[in-house]
Amino acid sequence: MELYNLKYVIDALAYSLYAFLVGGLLLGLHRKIVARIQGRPGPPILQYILHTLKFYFKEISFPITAGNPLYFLIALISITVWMSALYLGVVFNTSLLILMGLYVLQKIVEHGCGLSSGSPYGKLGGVRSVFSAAAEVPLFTVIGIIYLLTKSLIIEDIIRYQEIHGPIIFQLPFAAFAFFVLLLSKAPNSPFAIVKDKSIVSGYLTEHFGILESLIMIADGIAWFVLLWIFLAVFIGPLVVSDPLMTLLGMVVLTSLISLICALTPLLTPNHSVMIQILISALALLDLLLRIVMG
Amino acid sequence: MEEVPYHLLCCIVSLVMGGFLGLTYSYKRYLKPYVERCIDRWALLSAILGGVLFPLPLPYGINYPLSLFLLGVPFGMRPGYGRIELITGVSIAILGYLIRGLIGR
Repeated sequence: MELYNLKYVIDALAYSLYAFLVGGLLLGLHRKIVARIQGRPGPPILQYILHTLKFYFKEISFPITAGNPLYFLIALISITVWMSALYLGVVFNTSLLILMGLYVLQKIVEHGCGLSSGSPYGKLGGVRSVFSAAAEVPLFTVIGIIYLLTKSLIIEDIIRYQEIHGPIIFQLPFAAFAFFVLLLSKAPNSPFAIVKDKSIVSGYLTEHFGILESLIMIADGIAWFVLLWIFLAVFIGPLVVSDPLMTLLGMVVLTSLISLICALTPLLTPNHSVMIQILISALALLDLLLRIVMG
Repeated sequence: MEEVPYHLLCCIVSLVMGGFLGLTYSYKRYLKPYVERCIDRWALLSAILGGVLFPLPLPYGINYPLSLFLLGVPFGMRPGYGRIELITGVSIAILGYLIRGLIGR
C-alpha cells in the first residue's frame, strides 16, 4: 500500500516536470517565433527554462516595501493553483467549473503579487490584472454553451461526447473563438497582455526575483500547458488528446498561431483591451441565450 | 485518469540536457554574438549521429532519447549558430523515419 502511495507521488511529480518542460519550451518557441517575425534573432528556445533555473539559484532578498508574508507566499500559491489545475484537469479530467474557479484564483495571485511588492509598477500590474478579469467573462459563457450541447461539464464526458459527435469546434465555432481569446490574453506580448506591459516594467512581477520569480515562472509554464490542453480536449477532443504525441503537436500548432497573432498586433491600451473582451463576452452571451431560446 | 507519458518525458529531458550542452559549448567556443552560415563540425557530427539514431529500432525505444540528446546540441546553440546543423540532423531523422515506415510495410 505504501509503495502504491509512493508511485502516486512519483507520478504526480513526473507529470508536473513534464508539464513545466513542455510549457517552458512552448513559451520559448513563442518568443522565438515573435522575434523571427519581427526580424530579430531572438533568444534560444531553451531560454525560458534557463531563466527559471537561473533565478532558482539566485540569492533572494526582500524589498523594504514588501508586505510579508503575502510577498513570498504568493509564489507558492501560484504554483499550487496551476499544479491543482494540472492534476484536476489534465490528469483526472474533472469538472470545467473547478478549473474556472482555479483560473479566477490566478487573478487573486496576480493582484496579491503586485500589491504585496510595494512597488508602483507592481501595484499598477496588480490593478490591471483586475481589469483583465474581463477575459474571464467569455469563459463563463463558453462553459454555459458547452453545457447546453454536451449536458455535462466533466471533461471526461465532453471528450466522450466528441468521440461520437466529432470535434466541438465545428459545432460551436464562436465558443472556441472566445476560449481562444482567453488563451491569447494569457500569452506574453499578446494584444491583451496589459498586465505585463513593458511600460510598467514587468507588471506585477517587477519586485519578485530570485527563487520567487522562478516559482512563478514554473507556475506560468504549467499554466500554459494546462490552458492549451483544455482547449484541445474541450474543442478538438480524442482526435488529439488520446495520444500524448498528437497533443504535443496540437500544442505546438496552437502556440505558433498565437505567436503569429502576438507578433503582428500591437498591445492594446487597458480600456480597449477590456472593451474588446467585453464585446466578445456579449456576443458569446447572445449565442448562449439564442441556444437556450431555440432549445 | 491520464497516464504519465514517461517516454515523452525522457525524450524532452534529453532534448533539454542536449540543449544545455550545446549552449555551454557554443558560448565557450564562439565569441561573436550572431553569425550566420557558419558550420561547427562537432555540432554537425552530433546532429548527423542524432538523425541516424532516430529511426534505429533499439531496445526499450532508447534510440529516441539518445537521438534527441544529440539533436539537442545544435538546437540549444546560441542564436545564429547551429541552424544548418540542426536542419541537417532533423532532415536525416525524418527521412530515416519515413524509410523505416516504408520498409516496415
